[in-house]
Amino acid sequence: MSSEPFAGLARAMVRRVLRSTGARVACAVLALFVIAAIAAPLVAPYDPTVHPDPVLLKNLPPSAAHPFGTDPFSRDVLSRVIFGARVSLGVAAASVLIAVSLGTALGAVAGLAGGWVDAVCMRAVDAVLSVPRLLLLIALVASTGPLPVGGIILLLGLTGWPATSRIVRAEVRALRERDFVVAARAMGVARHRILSRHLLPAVAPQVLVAATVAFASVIPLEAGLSFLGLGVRPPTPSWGSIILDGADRPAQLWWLVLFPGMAIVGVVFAVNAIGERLREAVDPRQEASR
Amino acid sequence: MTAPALLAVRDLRTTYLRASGPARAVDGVSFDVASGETVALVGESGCGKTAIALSLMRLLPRHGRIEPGSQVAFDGRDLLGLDERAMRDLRGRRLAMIFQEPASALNPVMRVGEQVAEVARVHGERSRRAAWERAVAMLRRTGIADAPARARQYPHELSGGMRQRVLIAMALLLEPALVIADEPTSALDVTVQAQILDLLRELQRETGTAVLFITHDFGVVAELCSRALVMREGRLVEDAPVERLFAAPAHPYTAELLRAVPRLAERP
Repeated sequence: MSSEPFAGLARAMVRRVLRSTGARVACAVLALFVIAAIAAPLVAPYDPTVHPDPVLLKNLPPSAAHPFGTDPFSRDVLSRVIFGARVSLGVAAASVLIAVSLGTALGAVAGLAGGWVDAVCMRAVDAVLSVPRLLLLIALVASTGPLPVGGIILLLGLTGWPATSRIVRAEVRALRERDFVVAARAMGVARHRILSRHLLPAVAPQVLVAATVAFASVIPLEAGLSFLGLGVRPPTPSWGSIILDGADRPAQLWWLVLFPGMAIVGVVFAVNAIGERLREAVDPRQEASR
Repeated sequence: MTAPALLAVRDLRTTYLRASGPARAVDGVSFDVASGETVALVGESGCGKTAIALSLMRLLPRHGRIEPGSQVAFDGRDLLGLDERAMRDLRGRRLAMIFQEPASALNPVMRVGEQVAEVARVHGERSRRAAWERAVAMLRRTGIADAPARARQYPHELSGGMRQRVLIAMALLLEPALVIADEPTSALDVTVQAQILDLLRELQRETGTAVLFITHDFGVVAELCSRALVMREGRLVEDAPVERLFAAPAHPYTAELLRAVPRLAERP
C-alpha cells in the first residue's frame, strides 16, 4: 500500500515529463541507451573484446562495415560503445542506488534526531565535500590498487551520498514539526515508525530528483576514472576506457573520442532534462524563476 | 473531592525559549479533571492553552520545557516522570488529543483509514486486517457515511468536517480515559461545528471519556462543559462550574470575556 499515496504526484511527474518535447526526446534517447545496454549481445555487430586482426583491421575510420571505426586493437568501436553502455549505465545505476540509499538514511536520521547526531552527520558531509570528488576517487583508487567493477561501484556509491543526505535532512527537519507528525506522536507512534511510515514517503519525490542529479554526475565521473585508467579495467569496455584507447592521437583517431563522448553527453543531457521536469513537478514554485 | 482525580495538575510551569530569552507560557497552573468529566479551558489566543495541552501530552516543541517542580498525576501515575517509552504507551491509548487544524493534522499522503488503523497497530493490534476493520467501524461511528470507501481516501478528498471526524475517530478509537480537544471546531463552518460538537458529546457519553476542551468560544463551553477553567497570560484566573461562571463570574477578566461574546440581540 505504500506506493499508492504518491499516485497523484507520480502522475503529475509523468505528465510533466511527457508534456515537454525536450523531455520526451530525452526519454527516447535514454530508452535507446537502456535497450542497447540490455540487448547488447543482440544488437552489437561484433564481439567487443576479441582482436580479429590487429594488423589489417586496426584504427580503421568509420565505414559501412564498422560505422564507428575500429580501435588500435582492431575491435569494432560501435560494438564497444554498445557494450560500454552496459558497463557505464550499470555502474552509474548501482552506485547511485548505494549513494541515494545511504544519503537518505543518514539525512533522515540526522534530520530527525538533531543534536550531536545531526552535527556528526553534517560534519561528515562537509568532510566528504571538502575534497573534489574526482580527486578523492583518484586518491582512493591509488591507495587500493586496481579494482573490479564492484569496487568501482562501491567507491562511487560511498562518495556520492552527501548531496542526497542534505536534501533529505532539510526535508525531514521541515516535516518533523508539522502537525501531522506531532499528531502521529500524540497517538503513540514511535520515532522509527514515524520515519518509515510518515516522513520517508513524504520525501520520496525529492529523493527521486536527487537520484537523477546523482546519475547525471556519476556518468562522466566513471568515464573520467576509466579514462585515467583507474576505473573499469581493459578489456571490458566502458565509455571512458574507449576514449582512453584513442587518447594518444585524438586528432587522427577522432572516432574513438567522438562516439563514446557523444554517448556520455547524450545520457547526461537526457537525464538532466528529465530530472528538471521532475523537479518542477515536485516543486512547482521553481518554474516561476525560470 | 471524593474519588481521586483522573488528572491532577499542580503548579505546572512551561517555558518557551525564544530568541529574546525564556518566555513563561504556563505559569503555575493547578487543576483537576475527574473521570468522565468535560472541562473547558477558556482564554484568548496566546494565553497558554495549547502549551498546557502539549505539556500534558509531553509533546512540546524543542524549544519548550516543563520546569522542575511542576507535577502532573494522570491515572495515578507521575506523568512528568515517565520515560519516553511509557509515555508512548499512554499516548493514543489512555491519553489522546484532537488537533485544531484537521487539514494539517492528517498525513496528506496516507489513506485516512490507515491513519486511524495505525493507532490500533501501534498499541498492540497485530493483524493489519483487524486494525483496518476497527478503523472502518470507528469511522462509521463518527457518522461518516460509506465508511469503507471513505477510509480508502486521502485527506484532501474529504471535507473539513469529515477530516475532523477522522481525527476524532483516531483519538477515541481506543477509548482513552482523557481526550484533550484543542479547539477542534474553530477551523470549521458554523453548521459543521454544531455537528462535530454533537458527535463529541455523544461519543463521550458512550465511552465515558473525560474531555479537556480547549476553546475560546463560550457557546461551546455552555453547551458541552460542566466546569470551566479561565486562563489569562499563563495563569488560571477562575475555576468554576459553568452555571456559576455564567451567572456570577468571580474574576473581572471572566466577566470581560463573557461581555466580549457577540449576541444577536441584547436582552431588554
